Amino acid sequence: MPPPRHRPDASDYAAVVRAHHKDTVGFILADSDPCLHIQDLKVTRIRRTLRPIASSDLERLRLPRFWMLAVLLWPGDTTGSLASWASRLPAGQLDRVRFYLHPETDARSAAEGWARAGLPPLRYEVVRDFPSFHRLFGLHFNDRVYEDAAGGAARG
Amino acid sequence: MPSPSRLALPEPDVEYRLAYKLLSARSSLDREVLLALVARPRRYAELKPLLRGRRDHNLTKSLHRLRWGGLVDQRGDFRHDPPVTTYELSNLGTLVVLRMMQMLPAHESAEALLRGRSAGERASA
Repeated sequence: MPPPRHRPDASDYAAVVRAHHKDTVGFILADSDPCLHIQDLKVTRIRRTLRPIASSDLERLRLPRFWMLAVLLWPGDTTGSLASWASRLPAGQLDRVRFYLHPETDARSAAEGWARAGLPPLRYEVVRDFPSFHRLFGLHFNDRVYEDAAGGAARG
Repeated sequence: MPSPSRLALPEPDVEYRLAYKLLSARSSLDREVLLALVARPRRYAELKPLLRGRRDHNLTKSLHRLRWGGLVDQRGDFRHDPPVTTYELSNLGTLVVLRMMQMLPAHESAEALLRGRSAGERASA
């Protein structure tokens, strides 16, 4: 029998994230060249459970219990196939998808597929380069880990 | 230099550090925005009354700081033109508000104490 796992106080953010950060798998979706570069840098530099994917991988993607999907949208990228995949997810799982847009991305046209599928407003940030993506994705991933481990204890 | 993986993990007591920083800040706007988001997500226009005569730029910067710190998330509804953006607390943001509320009585007591001491020093000068 494995030893009982240490369960930190749910109100201790850092302790919860540090204890559970390996439980949540981060998928980073990128289709265009500059995005792929950031995606590769991220996966190489951060020793978390991260997996680079492309839109074409979505249909055969096996989702673990805890996951987050970061979608990099650079100019010209669309959300049609992603929306088709996401619309089959249980409603509560859609918050696991976050979008990171380049400042020059036309957000309305990039999000058109997502909106047309009737999916809820998307969680997004604008990122110019690897350092800004690195920072924001790290914060969002931590928050996802916390949510999965503490069951939204912070929100009561 | 810490390794990149260390950089991405939160430091111990991060919510206490951020709550203290917000309480100590000269401008109250960041903490007012956080408090306004406790009950429910809000649109930019709903947060504008917090400006009380200050320029919109201040609210834009405040929301950017709070998002950049991981305390606030934003959602965009791109079916509208212009898109409708709403802001909501993250889990970290919620914990920071909680810690801020715990610290507030001591913070106000300390401010009153220092004000009393200054007044006493002025009177005896």
